[in-house]
Amino acid sequence: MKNIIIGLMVTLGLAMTSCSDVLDEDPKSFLTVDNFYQNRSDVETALTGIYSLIADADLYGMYISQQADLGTDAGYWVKANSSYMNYNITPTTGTISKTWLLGYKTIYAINKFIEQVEPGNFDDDYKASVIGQARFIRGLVYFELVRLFGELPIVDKVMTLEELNAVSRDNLTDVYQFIIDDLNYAKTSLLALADMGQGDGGRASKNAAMAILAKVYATMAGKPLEDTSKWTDAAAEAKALIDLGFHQLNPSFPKIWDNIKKDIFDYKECIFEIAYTAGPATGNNIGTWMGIPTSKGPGGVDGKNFGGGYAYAKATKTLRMVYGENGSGYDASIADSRYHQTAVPYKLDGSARPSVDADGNYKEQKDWALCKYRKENSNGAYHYNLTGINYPVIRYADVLLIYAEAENELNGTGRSALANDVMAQVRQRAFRQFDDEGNMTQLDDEPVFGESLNYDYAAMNEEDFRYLLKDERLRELAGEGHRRNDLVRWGELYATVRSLSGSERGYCWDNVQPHHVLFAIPQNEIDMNGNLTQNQGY
Amino acid sequence: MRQILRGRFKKQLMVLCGLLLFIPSVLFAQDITVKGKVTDGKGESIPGANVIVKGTTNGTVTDFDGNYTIKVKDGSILVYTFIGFATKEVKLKGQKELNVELSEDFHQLEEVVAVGYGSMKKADLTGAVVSVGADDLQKAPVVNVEQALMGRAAGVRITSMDGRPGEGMSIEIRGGSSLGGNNTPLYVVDGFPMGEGEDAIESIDPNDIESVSVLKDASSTSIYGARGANGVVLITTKKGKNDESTEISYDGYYGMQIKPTDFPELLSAREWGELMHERYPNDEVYALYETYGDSVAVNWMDRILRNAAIQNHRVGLRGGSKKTRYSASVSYQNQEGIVLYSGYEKYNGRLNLDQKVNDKLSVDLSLSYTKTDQFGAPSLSGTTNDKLYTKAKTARPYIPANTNEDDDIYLDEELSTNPLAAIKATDKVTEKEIFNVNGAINYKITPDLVLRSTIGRNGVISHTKQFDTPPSYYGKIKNGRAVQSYRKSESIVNSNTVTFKKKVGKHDINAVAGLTFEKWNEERLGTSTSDFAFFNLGYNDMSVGTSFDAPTSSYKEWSMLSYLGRVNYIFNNKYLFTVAFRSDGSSRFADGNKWSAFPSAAISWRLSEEPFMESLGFLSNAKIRASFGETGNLRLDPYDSMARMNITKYGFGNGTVVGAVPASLSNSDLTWETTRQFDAGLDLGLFDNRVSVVLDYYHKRTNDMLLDGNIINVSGFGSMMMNMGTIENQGVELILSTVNINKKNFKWSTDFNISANRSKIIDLAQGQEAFFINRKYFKAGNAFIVKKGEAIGTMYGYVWDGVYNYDDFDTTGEGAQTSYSVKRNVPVSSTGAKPGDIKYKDLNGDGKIDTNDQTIIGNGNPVHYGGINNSFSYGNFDLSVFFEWSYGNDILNANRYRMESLDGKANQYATVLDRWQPIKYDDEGQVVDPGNQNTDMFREGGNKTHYYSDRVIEDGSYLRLKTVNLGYNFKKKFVKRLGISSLKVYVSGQNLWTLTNYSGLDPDVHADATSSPKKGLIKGVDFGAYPSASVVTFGLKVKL
Repeated sequence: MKNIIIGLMVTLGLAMTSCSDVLDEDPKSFLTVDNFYQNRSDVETALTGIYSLIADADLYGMYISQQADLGTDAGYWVKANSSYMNYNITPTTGTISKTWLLGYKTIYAINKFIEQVEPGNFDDDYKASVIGQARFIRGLVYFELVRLFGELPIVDKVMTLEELNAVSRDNLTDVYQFIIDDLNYAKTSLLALADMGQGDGGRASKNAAMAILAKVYATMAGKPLEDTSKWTDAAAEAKALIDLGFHQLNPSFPKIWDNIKKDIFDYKECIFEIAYTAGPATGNNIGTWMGIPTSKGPGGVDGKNFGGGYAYAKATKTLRMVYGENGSGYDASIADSRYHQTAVPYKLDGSARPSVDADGNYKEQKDWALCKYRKENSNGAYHYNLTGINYPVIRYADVLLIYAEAENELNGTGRSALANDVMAQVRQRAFRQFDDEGNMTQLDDEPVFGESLNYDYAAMNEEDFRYLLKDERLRELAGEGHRRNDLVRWGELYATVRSLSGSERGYCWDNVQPHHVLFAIPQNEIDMNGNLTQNQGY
Repeated sequence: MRQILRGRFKKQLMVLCGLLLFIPSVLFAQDITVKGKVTDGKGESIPGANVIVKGTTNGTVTDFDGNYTIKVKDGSILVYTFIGFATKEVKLKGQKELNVELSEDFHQLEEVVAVGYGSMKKADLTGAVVSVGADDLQKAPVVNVEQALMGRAAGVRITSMDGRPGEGMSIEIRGGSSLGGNNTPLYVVDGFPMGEGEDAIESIDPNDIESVSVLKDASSTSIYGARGANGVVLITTKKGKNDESTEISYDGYYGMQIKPTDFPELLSAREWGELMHERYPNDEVYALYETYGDSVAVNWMDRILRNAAIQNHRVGLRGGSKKTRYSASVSYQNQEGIVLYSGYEKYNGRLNLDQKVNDKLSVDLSLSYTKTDQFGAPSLSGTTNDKLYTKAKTARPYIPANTNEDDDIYLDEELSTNPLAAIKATDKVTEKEIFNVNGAINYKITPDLVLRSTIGRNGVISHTKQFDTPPSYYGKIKNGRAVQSYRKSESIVNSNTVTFKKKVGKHDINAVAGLTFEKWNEERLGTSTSDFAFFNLGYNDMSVGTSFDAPTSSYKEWSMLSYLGRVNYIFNNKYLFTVAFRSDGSSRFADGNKWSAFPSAAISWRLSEEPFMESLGFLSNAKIRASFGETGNLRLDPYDSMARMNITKYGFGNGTVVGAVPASLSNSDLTWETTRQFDAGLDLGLFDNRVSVVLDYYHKRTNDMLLDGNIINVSGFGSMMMNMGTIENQGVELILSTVNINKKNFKWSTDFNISANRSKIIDLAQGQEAFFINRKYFKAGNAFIVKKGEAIGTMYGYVWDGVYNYDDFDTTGEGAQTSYSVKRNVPVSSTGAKPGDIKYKDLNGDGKIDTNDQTIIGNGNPVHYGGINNSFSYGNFDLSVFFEWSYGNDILNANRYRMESLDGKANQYATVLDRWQPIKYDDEGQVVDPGNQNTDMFREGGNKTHYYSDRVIEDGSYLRLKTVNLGYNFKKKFVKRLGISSLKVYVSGQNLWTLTNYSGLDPDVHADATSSPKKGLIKGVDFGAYPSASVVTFGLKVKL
């Protein structure tokens, strides 16, 4: 009996003495932030995490890639229930808050990354290459946010909640300087694309930093900052990129999109892409929301499933007319391949072919799809909604047009010959002929388009050149998420959108107000931190 | 032989008891010897009754025939007590013989009630504890103890989620004290804490229960410290007996669940066709609506329902010898669902075994095993397309020619599912196994001091399998989908307590101190596959699918170390004091915040023991109580205080590369929710306790609520688990029990309880006035508001104001060419308005209807709720009639939001027949159809805003005849001839009658068809609920 009592006492005693560690927490099914970033593998994993953040729907996955052009002269959202694409924007609009949140989440992840990696036991070159990538993304995210929300609190390191509850919005010059610093750091520390392979597809590069920098300068030169001195920097940065000699327009415009959906990285044209792979973990909605409408349910022939196509993004009549259509409907004779790639009047049937009537004409829909990203015939893994179609954040054509624009703004008629030449390059490649997969069927020496469309850029005055350039940007980049930003920096958003009221379908035209050049700062932020002021008009 | 054994045993028991009581008595000098007999009201002798000289420990015990002999001083007072009888005191006036008749104690103050880590006489309780006995719990044909408890315990509000067999209930004790979403109490079965929720409840067969005690106030729950804030439900299962008996019993019932027929009426095929024609005037299909005769009409709701059987069988074995007690049972329950292909099956086995090793040492062991299978498509989870009960209402009410009811007849997008075919095409089962082992040793260190050490393990394995084939929704869009999810959880508890009980003179002490250690872990695994090449193998071979979602798995654990103690001290049988304490250490918090202490104190005064009360002869018991203390709540994820990284993937190149991103901020300040509760109570017994009253008032305040609170998004995160805010609950509870008639052949007693609780949010996060809870089934706006000064469960939306009628518009043109524009002073929303559109009030008077015109439009909390049970016995018959009610709560009837939407192709309630219709003119301007403008029901297409308003908020008050049970006990003589000792047959009815104004099927509903973490913050939603049935069963109880 005594033994039993002693046994019990020992049990009790043991329980009591071991109490200091029985309550320790040791999570086994997830990683904790502290204790991470220990070795190169951790660092790579954390860096991949940062890339995956910007690929999310609230940034490039859906918002910027598919919706930023809606509510402009390029396109509209076909449904009434969208808040921001139809300019029903309030400080509590969820989608806008989500983009703000994801932006700052990415910034937090990068700040944490830099805080942990910088003092880490790694060699300097390695540190520079990974921190360079992180800072490239930080600069890019700030660039997106500053264009959407205006003045922003610059969070450049890991801060406590108390500190964050007391920050205020930094002025635009400071925010842009911060962006430039990040991108310049990236420019000097990252590999050039020439030294990278297909497996690096989707990774930041020296070239990407330069291209984005050129665009940052061009944006600073426009509204609202209007620092026209930055045209010089924009021209210089774009010129430097051109002078690398690495980049080249893909001779076939449709081939760009065919490559993109097949996950072939065409670094010469697409300088920086967000890389997706079909499926729930790494896919996105590109091609599903924005693409050609399909009937519901898995479709396809020859094993080429293409899944759902809701295609809520629609092309305006205005856009089609910029390509030369007279506005009455589909015009097969238009030679500009961008017209056929950007907007289609039809639905796809279950065999992934356009629905046609008995005479073989397209069954024209009321709303034309804005559909550069087509999912039919994409190779590789299939997923019903989540495709592997990449999003090109910046293409060489965009940089060329920025160079031309900057030269025109700086020198007018005295713009460089290169400026005239790149304008022609961008335009000419759109008028070649191709097969279904975008392969060029026309020889280089054949005339590419009719005489009437061949502009003599060198002879053009500043005004005409600017006018033509703006239309060329629309023709070239429509549906890629640049139009809204272009209209804002040119100071034309309100006038352009409002002018389409009555002539276009959709719900956005009457709602737009001058203050919509910026989104509302999310109400939560103002509630939490009184220093954060609301944008004008909200 | 048996008789002899029994007799001998009884004698030994008496000697034992006698010795205990007698030992000190030899110290006293005796003057006279008194003899006598103690009998009950019917003249039967009572063996084993205690006879004690008041104010001393001098006493004796009656023998086998109820006789006793005692030596006492003349003039002293003798106190006669026996369990189940009222205590009687007689002053000795020189008699040598004193025969005493004890009367039955109706509300047994001697009854022993389980309290945490021990038990106590009801009379000695200082806290608010309500107990419900087996008799009451086992009257209703239910599969879970919560269903049986409903309406029977004051302060405990239980509501059904819906009628699906095996579906959990929502239970709340004294109002919700946490905004975190989970307000279910802690369940403790035979001293073993089972955690919260379904698993704990499912592991118990209601027929195995001896009694249930619900601990409500802080003084009784603080011994459970950090888990006591929501109350504690202690369940005691049946134990064996030491009386050398062996009792074999069979309990069984079989019955029918009768499908409801009083559904809100739907449009007929023709009426629906007419509505569609109104909506799509150019569609040829609907132009033929007049031909949609009744011959092709189909009532889908009726097609998917059936009358279903319910049955229960239990065999019990109970008995014991001097040293061994045992109770074992096996049971089987099968409840078919009234919706086709749904149902619930449960197998249960339990063994309780106590063995006395010697005078000092005893061990006990209990084992229980439960297996449940829940079949059928889900009702309360999944997406809208998955909700078949909603589908069955909205589906097109006719079958086109040349198709049959199993065909996938709805290929258009809005009605993509044939409900009947979809139910058949969905194969879903959740199998659960719960296994409990619990062992204890008890060692008497001294006669007053007992050490008890227990160790137990509770394991739950739950495995859900689902296979959807076309034409079910997922079957169709995913071309066959199989989902399997697996959960395994395990908890291990060790508790070591020392109990000290001693009575010295006027001092009575009962103290317990102890240490417990608990560890819990859970593993989950989930996988799903779609795009099946063929459907024959279903979820049993998921590799037949060709599209695989990434499998998910997780592991969690927590541990808790606690010190506890309680002292009950009673002075002079009048003044009662309880001090209880628990200190909990939890792994869930960061270093420095792991430990917290939860103290409480209670004081109680038995007025009826005071001499000055003696003149009030009718007052048999009077006690006032007051208690105050702290309890806690730590229902948060085990790792919420840590900053975690989530796994992500990125498609570098053509591949998939694993990444990790910070997913939360760490919060090392995270600590316990603390609830302070004050309780004041009054217990009264009148007329020999034939009337008993228990009245309680309480006030609870919970601080530092654990809530996922918004933070500044510039931090990179939208929210963080934080301690913030305060909520207050206060209320009164009254229990009134009366024995109305107590004749030998006819007895009638009544138990009544009523509770009222008011909850109020005092404070939210810093600077936060309110936040909203959205619900997916509303296309626009919020459903609930969580706001300072209001209760949890406050409904928030627009105020409905009828329809816009012609007089709200200016007109231009005439006849068919008339166009209408809203008059300047008539407020409209941004979508504008047409005659016949739904109209809302412009509350802020700004001339437009927008989000600023929303307000509080309902409250899901009742003003009061309770139950009343009447029990009658007449001869060998007994009858109990139990009513249960809830008064003053609102129900958000989301079914009506959908079924009176006049939008899309869904079928509608017949109420839309009275919809607004325009005046129609011919080309000459003559009225050809006057339409219908004298109505509140908007026109077809007239609800463009999709706002949610008080139009669909209804009074959810009800009074329900919950249970009726009529039984007949066969006469002993008769059953002896059959070779058995007792036989009873009964018929029982459940949910037979309901008085309510609620237009939906069942006012006892909380069917919120989403699985949101903020589920606990909404109350009283009826959306797509599985219909509940009336049940009639026939039962049999046999004892061998």
